[in-house]
Amino acid sequence: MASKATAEVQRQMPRGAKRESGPWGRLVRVLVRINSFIGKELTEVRRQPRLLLSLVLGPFLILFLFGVGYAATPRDIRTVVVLPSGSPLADNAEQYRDAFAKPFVLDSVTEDGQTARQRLADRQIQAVIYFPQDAYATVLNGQRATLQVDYNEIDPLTAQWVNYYAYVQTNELNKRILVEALKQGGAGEGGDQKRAEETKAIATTMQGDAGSLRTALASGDRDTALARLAALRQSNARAQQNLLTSAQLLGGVALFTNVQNPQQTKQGQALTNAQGAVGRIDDNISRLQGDVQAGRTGQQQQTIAEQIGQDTNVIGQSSDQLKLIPPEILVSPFEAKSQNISAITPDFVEFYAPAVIALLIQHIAVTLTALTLVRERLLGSVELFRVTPTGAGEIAVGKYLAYFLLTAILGTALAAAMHFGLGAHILAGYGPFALVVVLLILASLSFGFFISAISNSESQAVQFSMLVLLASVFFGGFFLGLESLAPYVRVVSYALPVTYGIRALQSVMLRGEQPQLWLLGALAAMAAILFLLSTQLFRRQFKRG
Amino acid sequence: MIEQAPNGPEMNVPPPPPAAPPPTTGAVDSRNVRAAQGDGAIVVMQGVGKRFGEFDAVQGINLTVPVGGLVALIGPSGCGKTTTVRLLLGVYEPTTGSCQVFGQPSHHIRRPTRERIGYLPQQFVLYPTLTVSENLNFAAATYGLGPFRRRRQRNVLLELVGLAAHRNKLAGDISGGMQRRLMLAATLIHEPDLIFLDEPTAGIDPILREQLWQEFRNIQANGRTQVVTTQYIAEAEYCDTVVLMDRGKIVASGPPDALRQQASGGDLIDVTIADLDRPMIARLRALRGVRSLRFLSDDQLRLTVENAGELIPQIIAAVQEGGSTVQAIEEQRLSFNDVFVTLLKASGRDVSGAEEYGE
Repeated sequence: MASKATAEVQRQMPRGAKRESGPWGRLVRVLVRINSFIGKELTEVRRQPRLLLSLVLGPFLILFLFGVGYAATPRDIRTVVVLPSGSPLADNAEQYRDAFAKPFVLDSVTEDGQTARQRLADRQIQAVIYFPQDAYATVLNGQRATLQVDYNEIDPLTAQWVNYYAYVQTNELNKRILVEALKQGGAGEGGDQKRAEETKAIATTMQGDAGSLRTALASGDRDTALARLAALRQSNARAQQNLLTSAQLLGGVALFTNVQNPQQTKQGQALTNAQGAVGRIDDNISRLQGDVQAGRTGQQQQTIAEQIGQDTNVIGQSSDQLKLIPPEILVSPFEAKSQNISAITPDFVEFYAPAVIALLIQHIAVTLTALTLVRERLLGSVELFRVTPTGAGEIAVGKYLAYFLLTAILGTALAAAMHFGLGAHILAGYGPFALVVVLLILASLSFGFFISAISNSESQAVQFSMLVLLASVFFGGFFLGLESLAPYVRVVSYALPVTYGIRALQSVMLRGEQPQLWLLGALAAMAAILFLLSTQLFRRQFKRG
Repeated sequence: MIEQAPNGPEMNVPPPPPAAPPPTTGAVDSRNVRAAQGDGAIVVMQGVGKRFGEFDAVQGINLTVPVGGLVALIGPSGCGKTTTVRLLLGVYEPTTGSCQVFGQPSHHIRRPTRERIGYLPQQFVLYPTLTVSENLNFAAATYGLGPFRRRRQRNVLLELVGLAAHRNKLAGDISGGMQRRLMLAATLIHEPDLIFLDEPTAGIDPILREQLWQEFRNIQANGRTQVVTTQYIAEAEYCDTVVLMDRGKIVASGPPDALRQQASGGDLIDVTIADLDRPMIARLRALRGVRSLRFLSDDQLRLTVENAGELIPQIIAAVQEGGSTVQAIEEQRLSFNDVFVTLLKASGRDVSGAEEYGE
């Protein structure tokens, strides 16, 4: 009955203009309504060129300036060296200057610790190194002497650098002292080399003694022969001691350089030969001493003396090989030689390009959409839409498509500027790049819609957008790698589209790899879930009360 | 307006009824044929109440709007006019009672039916950064109008509301009156059958208000139904039916003249008589159709009668028969402000601040 009455009323009602009915007509009207929002949003944004400029050009210029102006090297740490009072060490700064590696730069050398501390307090210098008063005695007691490094720094990062460089610098000083000690104390140029030369000299002396021994044996001069044999034994013992020291050094180096058979090296063979010769000489001296004392000085004994002479030659030749390890090498047997096997070695601008593109795309999309729904509510248009046949879903889809088009155009312009203007790489090609950008735009738009749906005022929406930007810079992997964040903080990172965008774009642009599927999946899921959620929220706000 | 009677004393006559609608533009012309079709009610409210928390915004509203009617909801600010309109639009769901529009519950009006409804909100809710023309285009598209029809309707309505010369101006750059007219054009762009106009003349100068009401009459002449809210009591004169509201309730309703009669107890006639004495008063009181009589001055009376048109000749004749002359006689029409105040008083409302109800 009721439906009959309704039909009667409707029949009597004057109809407005003729409207297409049926599914096709309804579909067309839905598309027209969606299109109305696309057109409206694009026109509104087009009318605000300053908004576009501030959205795109502003951040682009800031990041461009950062890229070209950022100096990756740490600033100089001007350092004063304070020597103990009455120190025998020279206070001529030039003697120490080359001992300082960047970023430590020697400012001066002084014994006035108080002035140095005051200058540090006034931040005229950045570090003071105090040499200990009784370093020599401390070391002689088998303890490490403390090299005190003071600094005056509030930046924890710089403080870490100072600590690190202090450690490096101390190592450098230790090395230099060790080199000097080796030179002075028996190894290398003053030690290893000197010892080798001494061994050679001993060998030469022994050759002379061996010649005198042969002459004495030939002439039957037993006393002279015995005296030469005693001298040869003494020299041979010294040569043996030197060779033993060299063998120990060689063994130590071999141990740290992980050489399995050090005796097979050139030095090892020389050492083996020399030690063999020393052994044989020792045997032959003992044998000859017995023969001479027994009065035997014939041809056989002369042949043995000849053999001693030949062995001293072996020692002399071997000692040439043993003086080849300089003290600097002994102290620092390793040097680093690094090689980057990455496809490219980007500079700072090139490296930050993917992050800049991802961050700007997210920023543009979030900022544009964050205001859109809240603005309609505040303007009062929502009340009008409630009365029209337009549904909340149509409004959301229309706006979403409009802002997708807009952000895609701006993102393309930005990427083109980075690629062609600043030389940013896109190694994996435009296809994968476009795929990542499209998904990043969709996820960011959904994020912005969500902000808009939960904001009660425009200022709230703007504030949320700024928070997202701030969070993206800190937690999105823009400056700091995610690895440097605690796991519970990474939750924030993974809630941001830019985190996935940066990683995926870095793969595509810098490594020439296809983006990882999970990154793309995360962006797509974020886009879908947040869009549905925000549309649902908007639908509830749109719902007639 | 003062006119000289052809034979008799000078008399004031009531203002003429609103002028006949002028010829309208093509698109609206074509709808003349639909005027006053059928006798069904397009809007039916029965015992409707709406409560927000502990506050009853409206209660016990009974209202029927016939097809082609022009109904005014009149009352002071906060009396429930806008709430009633929103209930009819389905923006609010009634807490009590039933509210039907086009035979459907207003809260569940189907989408095709929504295409037949137009709504002019109180505030300007179009987009300041779009031009006049773009705003109209957008409004039309939200109703699903195709591009060709949009263009045709846009041109027609821009002419109708006098904004054709301003079509390319940004809506934020035009005056408040122009914005109101733009809103009206946006309300009419899809040729709705039922139009809700929420305070369409608020904040608009009297000349423009007059023009707008003329336009509403034109729209009515084209067979469309309008429900208008206004704070301006005098605007009730333009409507077929006036619904007086106060504190969420309907105080009185009916055609303007019926309400006027209800307020005054009948038609009013002021008569000035030379040598007015008791016998003359008794003679007048004895006339059939005279309900009451009171002195306005020593020689002037106000008579409350059933029908002024019939009684005026009889009064003149009675005075002449009594040997005196009528120096002046006129029918008095209570201003609608007075009608409104009187009816509110009758409902028990303190109306000491009656000027707040507008002109």
